[in-house]
Amino acid sequence: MHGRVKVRTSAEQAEIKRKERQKQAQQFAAVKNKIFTLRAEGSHAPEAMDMTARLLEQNPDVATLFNYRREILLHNKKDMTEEEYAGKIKEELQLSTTCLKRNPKSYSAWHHRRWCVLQVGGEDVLQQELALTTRYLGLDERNFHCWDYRRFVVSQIPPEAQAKIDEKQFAKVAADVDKVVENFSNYSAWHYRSKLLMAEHSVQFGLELPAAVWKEELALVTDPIFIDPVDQSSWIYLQWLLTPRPAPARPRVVFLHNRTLVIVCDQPVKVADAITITSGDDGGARVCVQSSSCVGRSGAVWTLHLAEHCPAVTITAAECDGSDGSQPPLVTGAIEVRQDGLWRSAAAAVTALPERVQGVVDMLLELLADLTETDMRACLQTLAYAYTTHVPDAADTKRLCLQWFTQLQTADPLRRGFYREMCSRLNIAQQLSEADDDTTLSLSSLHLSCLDGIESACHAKYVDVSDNALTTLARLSVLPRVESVNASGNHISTLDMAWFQGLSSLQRVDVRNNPITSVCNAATAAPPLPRVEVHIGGGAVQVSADVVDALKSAGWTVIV
Amino acid sequence: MERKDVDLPADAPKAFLRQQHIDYIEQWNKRKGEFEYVMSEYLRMSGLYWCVTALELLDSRDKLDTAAVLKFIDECFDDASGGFSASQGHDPHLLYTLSAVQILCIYDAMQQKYVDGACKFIAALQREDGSFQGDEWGEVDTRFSFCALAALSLLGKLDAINVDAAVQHVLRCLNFDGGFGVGTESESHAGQIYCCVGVLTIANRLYSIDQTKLGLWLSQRQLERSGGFNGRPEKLPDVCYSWWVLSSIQMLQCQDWIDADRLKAFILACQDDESGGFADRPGDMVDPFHTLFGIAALSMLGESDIDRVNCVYCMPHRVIQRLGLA
Repeated sequence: MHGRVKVRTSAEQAEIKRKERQKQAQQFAAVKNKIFTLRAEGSHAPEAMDMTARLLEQNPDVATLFNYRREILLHNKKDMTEEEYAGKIKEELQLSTTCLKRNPKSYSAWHHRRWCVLQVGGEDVLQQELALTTRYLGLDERNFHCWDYRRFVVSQIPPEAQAKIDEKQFAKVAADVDKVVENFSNYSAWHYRSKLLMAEHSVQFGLELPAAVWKEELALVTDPIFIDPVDQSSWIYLQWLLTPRPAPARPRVVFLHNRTLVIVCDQPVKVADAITITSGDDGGARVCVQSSSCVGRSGAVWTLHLAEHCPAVTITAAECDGSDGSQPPLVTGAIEVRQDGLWRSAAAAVTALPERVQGVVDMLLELLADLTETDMRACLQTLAYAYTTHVPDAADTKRLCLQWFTQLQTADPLRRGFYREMCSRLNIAQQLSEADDDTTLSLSSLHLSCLDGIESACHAKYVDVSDNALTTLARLSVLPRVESVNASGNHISTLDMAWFQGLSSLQRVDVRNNPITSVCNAATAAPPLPRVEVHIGGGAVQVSADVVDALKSAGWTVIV
Repeated sequence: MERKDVDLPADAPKAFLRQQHIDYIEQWNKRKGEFEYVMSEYLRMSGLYWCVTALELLDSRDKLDTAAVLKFIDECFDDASGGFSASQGHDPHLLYTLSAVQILCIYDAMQQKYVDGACKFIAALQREDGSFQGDEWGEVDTRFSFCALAALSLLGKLDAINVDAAVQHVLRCLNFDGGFGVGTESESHAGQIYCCVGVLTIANRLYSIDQTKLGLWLSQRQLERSGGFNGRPEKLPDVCYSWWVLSSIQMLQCQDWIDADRLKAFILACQDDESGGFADRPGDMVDPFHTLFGIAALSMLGESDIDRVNCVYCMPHRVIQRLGLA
């Protein structure tokens, strides 16, 4: 029941109305029972068609009634000429139309139409159906059932007749600038345009489009952006136009400690499938990956647990034929890492935006000057998207995006958490790029709400993330060699023992000045943790006996 | 320019009306002759799942006759196909097979014949391209992919289907905005995104999509004035998206990318303080569908009077733990 406003009526009126509707319901149920009896008897009689039609006109969502109609039609088809059958199917389309008037979002009524079209097809039916969707989209330009049905109808039109229809033009009209003024731009139409362009040019990403086509799209989306800079639809389309095909994934950092292998790539990839691991530096016996887990949200950071301890391992591309095209080779050549030795790629960072993207960025910077703080949100976010997507490692990116994301925290408070996380990532990247390549990771007092990016220093032994805004330390799993963690002065309320699982060298954890009220996974965190000294409490923080007991039960030495 | 959104009425409820919701659901299931009840027979099994789950989350199982529910489920089990129908006499369908499996798991009343039946039914509906049709009549929808994976994982029988092909199909439905729709050509929609993210979570394949992009799109569903979520850009907010969006956000682990307090205020404002239950928006008619999703979303937001809900299955978390899935 969507969008039905509750009308407050007198008790008397309500009772009359209730009785009326109850009677209607009784009649409905009685006819339904008759229909089900007929069906159970195997009847394909016309009265079943009449009765199901009557009920469906009242309630088009009773899918079983459509099923029964289709059974009857298919059963009786053999006694009909092709023309007669086509006539029957036209009646079905008419019934579906009546049903859609009652509920334009009825799944079963729309599905029945598809079935009908597949039964008879034919140019005239298809054109008629296309016209119907145009009419319906005029009434509700966002009805996704209708859009999907339109695409289905178009797909049924034979290629030689396709020239007569111009779906791109249709999507353009539907997303028209005039409409923007009148009633926002139409997200459904932008979506359709992206699909049509992807199919026409066999691409997936906006920036892959041929330059001339891309320019046209940019021109099309620019007007709505200038007219209504708050409308999300056109901004999301513009961001797609700025999206390149990702390069094949490459390792950036590889680190081996005991049986844990950390692999950090620049793109998402299922690492365990894409590489082969052999022991020794000269490629000895193959080493099995016992388990692998993807850390965080990027799909590019993996910790692998090896079946055996090796003094060194060699990583090469897995011997996959790549016939399904799903897993590009991750590694060209071999990467050798020794225990506790860090491997880092020497890839030169790209620092300049592609020309087309730079053009858009210049345009947006100009636009920005005319916008109020509320209106500039999508613009700032798109600018940041352009930089972080194309030149993530550039100094400009860190400087500009940090400024924009900080601004957005105030301008768009609902999504403050997102912008804080983006700032945290940038701050961590900045800090790591400036740090000497030693084994201490210093990230104190940077307003961090997440630890995304610390994997670049996965060989760290000493970590200081004190005085930030962290609520979790789950990201520590990318630091297999860590010995000491200072996470004091954060916002941790639940200490999850699973965060420290597999950190076999851990000796000291400082979580003082955190509002810790509970400990979880103390019993289940396996394998058993070595004896770790944990510092809790401090300042105004009260430490409950439960917390202390839970930590002790996990074998930790608790210092309050 | 004025956006599509609503204002919360000043007199809208601001506290969680626990007892009134329990009463509403109890009453709903006693109104067997009423218009709304009769007209929703075509989805009764799902309707029951909404009521059962809502009551479980409110620790009030006794408000429904569990024996009668189990008897009803048995009467909706189709021996021949192995699937469950919405109600007696209706045809079995993937949607109602999931709902039946969910109720059976909650009540811990699974039987071998149901397990075998559901496996057979679901496996037969997987198509060559990995997608699922809802029944023999061939409607394909990413909702059905979720129904298949959710039901089979609850039964511990994911090996009955080709999970990798199912994932590949879902990934083919990925759109320019990072979201998912009904099919490979369809517009992104928060309900379908829940289904697709659910499939990827169950199959342990979330790393295959751009989670930051999708997480941001989802967080942009939260509207300025009402604090509620819409399901697509430039649409009105609706309580059910509090569930579809928030659960997806939770699966992507970016809960703090939205304003939880504002969302909570919107959900609470959608309660009907006369009849109990939740409506899609403040002042609209309530129904069991919005009631469950309002309650489940509040559970995710940490409302103390509600049992913890599992964000993948929309069932009590303790049930998912008992099944060894969490």
